[in-house]
Amino acid sequence: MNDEQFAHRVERTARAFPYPPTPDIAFAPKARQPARRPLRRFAWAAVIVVAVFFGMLAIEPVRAAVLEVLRIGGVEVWIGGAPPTPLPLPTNLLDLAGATTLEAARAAVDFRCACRQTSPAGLCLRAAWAGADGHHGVDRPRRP
Amino acid sequence: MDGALVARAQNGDEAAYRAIIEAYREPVFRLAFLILGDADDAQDVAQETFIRAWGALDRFDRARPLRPWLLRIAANLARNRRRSAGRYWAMVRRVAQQSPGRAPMLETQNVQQDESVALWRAVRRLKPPAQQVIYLRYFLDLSVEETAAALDIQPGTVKSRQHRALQQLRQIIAQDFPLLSEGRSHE
Repeated sequence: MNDEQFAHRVERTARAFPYPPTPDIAFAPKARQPARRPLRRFAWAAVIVVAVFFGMLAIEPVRAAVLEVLRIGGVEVWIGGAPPTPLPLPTNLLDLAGATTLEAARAAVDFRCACRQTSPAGLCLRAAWAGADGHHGVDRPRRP
Repeated sequence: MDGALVARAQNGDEAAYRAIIEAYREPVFRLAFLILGDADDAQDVAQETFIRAWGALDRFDRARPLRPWLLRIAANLARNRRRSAGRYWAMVRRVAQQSPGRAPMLETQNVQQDESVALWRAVRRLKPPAQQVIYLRYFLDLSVEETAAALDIQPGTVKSRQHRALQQLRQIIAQDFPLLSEGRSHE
C-alpha cells in the first residue's frame, strides 16, 4: 500500500466514525459588545497605570523614595541614633597663665600658698601642685 | 447562503443566527468530541463556541467561509479545556486505569465502525497539530483551503503537516493497531 492508498484508506475509515448524537445547542443571545477600539484600550491601560502609581504613593516608604528620586521636598528629616554627648568644657579653676605676683596668687586661691626660700626671685608661676606633706605650693624648685 | 445569514445575524437577527447554529452544530460538536473524547465536554465546547462566535460576529469577514472560522473557535476552546487542570488530572486517572492508546468506549455496529474507532485511537497518539490536520481533513472532510483557514496556516503548510501526520500514523498503526494494518483490510 503506497502513501496515496493509505491516505484513501484513512479517509474511508474516518467517515465511518460513530459519533455520539449531536445535541441541541441552546442559544440565549446577549447583547453583543461593540468591538473595542485600540484607542479605548490604550485609555484603559493609561488609567490603570495612573491608578497604580497614585496607589503606590499612598504607601509612605514608596512615596519617600519617589520624592527623593525626583528631588521634591525642601526639608529632609533623618531619623537616626542620638548624637554623642559633648564633653564638658574645662573649668578654669586657676587663671595662672602668665606671670603674677605672690600676693596675687595667694588672693586667687583658697589654700595656703607658700614660697620656698630656694625659689629664685621673679618666679614664673606655671602650675599648682600638692606635696606629699599636704602643703600646696607654686612650681617646684628647679634643680640645678 | 452563509453570507446572507451572517449579514442578517450581524444586524442582530437572532433567527438567522439560530439557522447558522443549526447548520454548523454538527461539525463543531464532532470536532470537539474528537479532540476531547467526551460527549458532555464536547457539548459544552460547542455551546461556548456559538456564544463566542455571536459575540465576535461583528468582526467576521462575510467574504470568508463560516465553517472554518467556527471550527477554529471550537478547536481553541477544546484545546484549552483539555489543557485545564481538571482535564489533566482526569487524564492522569484514565491513563492509570487504562492501557496506553485506549480512548473512551464508543458503541459500534459493524467492522467499519470498529476500524474507525481504532483509527481515532491511533490518531490520538499523534501530537495535537498533527491530530487536528487529520481530524479536519479526513474525519470532517474539509478541503485543504478550509483546513488552512481553520488552523490559520498556509495551504502548503497543511499539505506538509498532513503528509508527516500520515507517515507517523502509519507507523503507529503498524506497531500497535493490527486491526488497521495493511493485511487486515475489509474491503
